[in-house]
Amino acid sequence: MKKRITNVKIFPISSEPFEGELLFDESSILEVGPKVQGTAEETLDGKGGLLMPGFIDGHSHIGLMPEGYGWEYDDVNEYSDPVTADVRCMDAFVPTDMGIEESARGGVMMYCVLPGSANPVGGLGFIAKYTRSNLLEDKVIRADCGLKMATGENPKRVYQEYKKMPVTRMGTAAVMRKFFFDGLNYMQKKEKAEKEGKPFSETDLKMEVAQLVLEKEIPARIHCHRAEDMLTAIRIKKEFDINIVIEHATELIKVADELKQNEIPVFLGPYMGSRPKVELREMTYRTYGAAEKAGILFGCMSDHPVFPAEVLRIQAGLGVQYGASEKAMLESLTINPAKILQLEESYGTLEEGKVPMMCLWDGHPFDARSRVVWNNVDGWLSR
Amino acid sequence: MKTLIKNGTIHPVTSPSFVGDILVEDGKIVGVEPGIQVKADTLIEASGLHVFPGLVEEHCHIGIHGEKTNQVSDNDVNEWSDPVTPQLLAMDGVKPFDEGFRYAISAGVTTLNIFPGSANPIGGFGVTLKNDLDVPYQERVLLERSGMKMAMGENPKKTHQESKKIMTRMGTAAVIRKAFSDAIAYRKKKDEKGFDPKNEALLQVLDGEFKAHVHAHRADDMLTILRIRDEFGFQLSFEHATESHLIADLLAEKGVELAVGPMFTARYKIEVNNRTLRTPGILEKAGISDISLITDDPVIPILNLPIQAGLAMHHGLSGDLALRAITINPARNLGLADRIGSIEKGKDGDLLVCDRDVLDPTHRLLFTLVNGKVAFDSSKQELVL
Repeated sequence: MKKRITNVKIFPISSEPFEGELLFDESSILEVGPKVQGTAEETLDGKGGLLMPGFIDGHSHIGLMPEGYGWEYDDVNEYSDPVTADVRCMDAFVPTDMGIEESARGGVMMYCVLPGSANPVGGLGFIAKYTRSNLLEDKVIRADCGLKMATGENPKRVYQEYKKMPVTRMGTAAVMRKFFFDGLNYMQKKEKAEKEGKPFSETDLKMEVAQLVLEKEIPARIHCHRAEDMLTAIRIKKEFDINIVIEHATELIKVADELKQNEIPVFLGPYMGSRPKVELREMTYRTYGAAEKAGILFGCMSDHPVFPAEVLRIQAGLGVQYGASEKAMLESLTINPAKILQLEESYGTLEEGKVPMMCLWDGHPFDARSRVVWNNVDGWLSR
Repeated sequence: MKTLIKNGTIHPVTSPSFVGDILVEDGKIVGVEPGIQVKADTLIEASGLHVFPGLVEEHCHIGIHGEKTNQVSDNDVNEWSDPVTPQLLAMDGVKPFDEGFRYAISAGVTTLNIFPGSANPIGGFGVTLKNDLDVPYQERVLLERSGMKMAMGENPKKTHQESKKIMTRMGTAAVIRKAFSDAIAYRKKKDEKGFDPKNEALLQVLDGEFKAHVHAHRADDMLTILRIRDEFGFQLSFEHATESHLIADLLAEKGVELAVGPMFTARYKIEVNNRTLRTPGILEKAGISDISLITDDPVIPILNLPIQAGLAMHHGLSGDLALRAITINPARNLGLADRIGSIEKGKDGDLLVCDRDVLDPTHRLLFTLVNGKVAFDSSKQELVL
């Protein structure tokens, strides 16, 4: 069914905001402009609100530890082994997590769910969309979209209890390298079997994932807070020629040049908590402005439930308060995460041909008093 | 970029001292002689002052230990999860923005070799950094792999006895022998097994590509690793060598390198009971000249590097060797003698300007230059130490 939204200020993200109309059906945006030509079966009066793309939260644990439960529902970290490349977030996702609907009230309509940061090699994340359906297959946009990896304090803290490598940053790097060297050996063996026309009987699910990363089918999504941890991630990226995305990048300011030179995209956040760990000492909202200034492709992320995705927009607003432009922070919630997650052909802006995923706001989302009054999934929302 | 130091008493280390000038251009020393006339970007008038090459610390844990916070989360010295970790790189554990690097520069230390700790019989590769805080970490790295850290004595026993992996000195020796003999076996079946980072690292040591830098305090520990060296044939440099004075003649005969220190700690463990500041002097009299002195920072703070050398001199070491032991000798030990450790044409512009002899504990460091740039100026940064 074709619908038309009128009387709104449209934020296409790909261009400057303007007063206009938007025509869409279930699968795509058909027209965007000051006046749309096509006919619609239903017209929605936007009452002067702000129409924006639904926000994309590029780094979340939503559904993996549903709120209001204890350890029974905590499935973020498979901390039984430092290398768990074969675990998949989709196998633990709880679609009824109350955080999902709440996030949508804060404009977040798509999220990339990743395993936690206990393991140097953690597991496979996926990308899901906000829907009314609670069936996983209706929600998932892309399965196995990236391999979560982690540096810094968390792997050390977890594995020193078990007296297992890593208990130092050196150990974490060694575990990662071993994983990729093993992957290369595995690929060689597979190739050899194929050349000799023999069946390959040593299938290893962890190594299959190593192969996906080594062949650049998926990126490594590497948790790094400290500057040196980012430099280690960049070295490993170069050594094995893989694609990486750096997650958190709390000390980005110290290594912005290196990140830019190596064209490393980053997901920045959550910076609204306290600093309970040494590696969070230098945490600041200035990081967003520094990333913008250095020309680094960055998304603003929640790490939900570390910090609730419902107020992701407020974190973006604080980025503006501390020196980033409003334009850059809006991009960091929309087109930038879409680019980093390789979804920009279908999501991230309000342009013709893209999949409709949008929210109507009664005020600017960076203003805490504003709220989503309509979205294309729920329709009109009451307070 | 030109930096000129005028009219200083120059101590090149590798040749006699004299009064004259030093010109550094684009990071390298291009002139060491009296009466250099050139328009420089930076001029340091050094008449009445002393100029030394930047100090070289052969063995410390700055940056990998975590100055100030002193928390486990910040400490990456010992990967004690496994007694054999040759695949580790100290480079991955160093925090290049650590405060310790600033303390080192304000103590005149312009090159630092940072090792993993001594918890493991085979610990991992050290990293050697030029202490130039103006350039990114990767550009500070002189040697990504400076040498293989190994350890004998109390620390491996203490670390691994809880997990029952090593209980005795016999156990430590057996772990080392097994690791090297496994690596030799690995070489024979590598094509079939595939690349293994641990064994590859051990083969690099066996093939002489990197030296083994072995932590050994007691004389018996030194003798054990000498036996193992003779069995497998790798290159050996001793670290600490606290009881080396007890076997000085034997060491002179064997011709090994020694990195001695720290020599003014308390006798906080049995294996340092015989530690004495006389050790370097006794070694020198036995005919050993390949001595470096080390602080092992944070065991003693790095600012003691020249002070320890001065104290060793007080206890019998010659002034010449005391100065060599913190400059050209550690540079040679690390394989960097063509770049650092003395004031010579073509070498890096790493220089100290002091109000008197750097070995005199009352000296005051006025400037530290790294690659020809003023990295420390006491008139501006007095409160660092």
